[in-house]
Amino acid sequence: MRKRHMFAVTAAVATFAGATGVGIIKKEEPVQRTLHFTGPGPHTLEVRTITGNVRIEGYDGADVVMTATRSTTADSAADLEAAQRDVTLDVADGSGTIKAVVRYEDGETCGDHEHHHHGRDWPDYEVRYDFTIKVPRDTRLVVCTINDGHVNVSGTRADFELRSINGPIDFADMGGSGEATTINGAVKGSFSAPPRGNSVFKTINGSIVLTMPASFAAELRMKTFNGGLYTDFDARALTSPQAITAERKGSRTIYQSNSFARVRIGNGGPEMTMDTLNGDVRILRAAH
Amino acid sequence: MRCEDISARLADDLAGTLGDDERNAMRQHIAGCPDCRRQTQGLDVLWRALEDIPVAAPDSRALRARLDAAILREQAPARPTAPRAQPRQQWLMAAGLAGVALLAGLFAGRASVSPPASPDVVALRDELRDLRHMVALSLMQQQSASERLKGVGWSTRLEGPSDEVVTALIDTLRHDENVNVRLASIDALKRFAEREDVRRAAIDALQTQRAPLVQMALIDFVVETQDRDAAAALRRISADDKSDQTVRTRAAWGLEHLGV
Amino acid sequence: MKKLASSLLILAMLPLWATAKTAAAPTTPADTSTQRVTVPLSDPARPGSLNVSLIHGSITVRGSNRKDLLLEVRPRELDEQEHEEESVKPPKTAGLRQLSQPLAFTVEEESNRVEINSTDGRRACDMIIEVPAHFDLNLSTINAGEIQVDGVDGEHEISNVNGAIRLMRVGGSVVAHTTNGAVNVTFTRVTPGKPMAFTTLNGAVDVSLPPTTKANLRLRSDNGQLFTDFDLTQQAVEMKETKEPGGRTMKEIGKVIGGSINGGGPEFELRSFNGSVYVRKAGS
Repeated sequence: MRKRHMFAVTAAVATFAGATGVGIIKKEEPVQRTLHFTGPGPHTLEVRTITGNVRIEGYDGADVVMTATRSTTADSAADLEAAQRDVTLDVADGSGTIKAVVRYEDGETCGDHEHHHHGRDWPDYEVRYDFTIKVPRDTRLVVCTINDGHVNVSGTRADFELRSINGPIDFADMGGSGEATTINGAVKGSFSAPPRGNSVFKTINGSIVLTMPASFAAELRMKTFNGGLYTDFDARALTSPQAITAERKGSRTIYQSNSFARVRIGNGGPEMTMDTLNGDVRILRAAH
Repeated sequence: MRCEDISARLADDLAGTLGDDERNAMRQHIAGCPDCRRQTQGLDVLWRALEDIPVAAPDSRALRARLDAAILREQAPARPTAPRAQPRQQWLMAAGLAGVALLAGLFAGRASVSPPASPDVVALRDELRDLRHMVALSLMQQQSASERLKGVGWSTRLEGPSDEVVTALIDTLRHDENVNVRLASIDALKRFAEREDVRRAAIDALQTQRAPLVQMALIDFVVETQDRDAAAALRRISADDKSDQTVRTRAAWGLEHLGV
Repeated sequence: MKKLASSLLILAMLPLWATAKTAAAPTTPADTSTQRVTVPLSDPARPGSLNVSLIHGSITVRGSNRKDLLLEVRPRELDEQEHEEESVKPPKTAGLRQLSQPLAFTVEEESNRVEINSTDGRRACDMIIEVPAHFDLNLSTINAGEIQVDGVDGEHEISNVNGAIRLMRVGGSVVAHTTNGAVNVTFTRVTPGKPMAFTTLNGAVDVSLPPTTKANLRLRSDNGQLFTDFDLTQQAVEMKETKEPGGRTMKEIGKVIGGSINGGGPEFELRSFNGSVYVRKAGS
């Protein structure tokens, strides 16, 4: 069941008419809403924005409390109007999944592979949504952001799928497993309970630094190009390297080397993959 | 066997790939045919002269290489891009045909054949010199470094160097991927050091070549040939802290010995 | 044609390879980062070729009874790696143990031609390869390693920059060069008619040939000496002279000896700038 809510917006409009025509910045008041899950679970929160930070905190409550702040930068008043019209935040609750999805005029949002901006002019405005959301601790998380996309997640115990492009991903006091990938930013944080399933942490330009509890046991796969792999856990290199398989392309047979270092922490456990290009991978043991 | 058949079989006979039966039939015919005998005698001269080109062991592959060169006269020089396993096979087929064409050309005008006389000998010698040039050129384009060394080496034994050969040597100096082949080309170019294009190429190479071995040989080249135009390049090398120290010292020494 | 009896030649050779060791591959214990690939040939009955290009590392190739190719890639222990930056660990990683990564490389085989490339530009490795006894080798590395070959017959092109080239018990033909390192080659067989070259800037060139080898030798060195125990029939006076405008004459730089052995044959060029050149009769 989908409900649409109208926001009572008190807009504070600031107009800067500069010689460069830099344009208009309209920052709106943050809007807070309380959203409800129904059904026994599992419950999922899905947040998608094109530009903006997403901060999610687990807490000991049953509802989702979401604060969204919209901010628009436009070249002209006409563009500002277009922005107001084209870019919307769709919020839906009342089921097992709560969604907060920022959409552009053709319905496009973060994570859409079918829609691309290619061949289409970039709009002369930018709409930014920053979110701060409190969720029940067992909420699964699906987060997608692109620009200025700092993702900050803490205090949940369920699975997560966090995707950013231009922004770091930070964890604190986590307990779930899942995927956290970005392109331009570090992936860092701490887990108070070791992930129970397989996890992937991936970036291109940034280090991956994860702090795990002393009880951590897992099979690690780690790779970097420009950096080192480090841990202060007792890590045993796995003795049977994966066989290199052949790939046939016409009359050529091609063999690619294994690229991941594989080590076992403790007695082993779920697989955790850390993959970066420009940065270190550091798996640290929590201080107590 | 008829006279027309002889030319086709001669190529194979000289390359050593003619079967015994055919060779006997051919010899029998030649023994009884004065015209054919005269022709083969002329060819013997040609082939013996070719064998004087220093190739360590005359084998059928070397002979085929000579036939290959004959193709170059018919076609534009082609750079073999086939993988290393393949080059000679393709050429062999064409070589067989073109070699026959070459030989058949010498058989041409059988009706008005005359015994080998001065004009024919001169023509043969010209043909021979061109063949040597062609062989050198084709060798310099081979995939194996050893073959390219051979080509560069042959070019040093040519009398009356052709522009094509000098250009090929300059090209080898500029672009050959193997340091030893580039070094050999520098040695080979020494006899052409008075030529403007060679002097320019040496100075240009001094500025662009990065392999220390090649730089050393080029410094020696411009000093031995007393090419004062190289002074600027030598100065740059001696001051370049990215260059090997031995090379920089040599460049400075070279400047002294150029008297600049 | 006169026999050469100049003081530049020493007929009794000193065994300079006192440590004539067999190709000793690095003996670091294989850890998980060592990777192994067996590469079958498209047609094991026919000859093949191997092409290896590395930036940092050593290449060791051994001839064997195999009809295929076995490659082992060992990344260097992290202590052994030569970093341009200082080897002190940055503070963030103090107290942490560093783990080694497997080296990134690709192997391609097509029509018996095997090509191995290391796509890892920053890590050094040691590549140890077993090949059939008849295989053409084209091996090249730049830093941090030697190239060693033992018992392979073929047409070999070997290139190094900062490291030696040691080819033992090879057959066929060799064109080899390095900038900083020795070039040591012992032949069990030489393919007739093939020119060869052995060149280095800093290091000795030491080549052993079967005593019946037919060749035209050219030995050159700037700052070293030239030695052979072959009977060298000198073919031409090598010291060239050029005239300077002022009337001074210049002699060719360095020492050069050219001559034929066993009646002559293809040209073998042996050259060093800062090292000596030795041409020995194999078995002596």
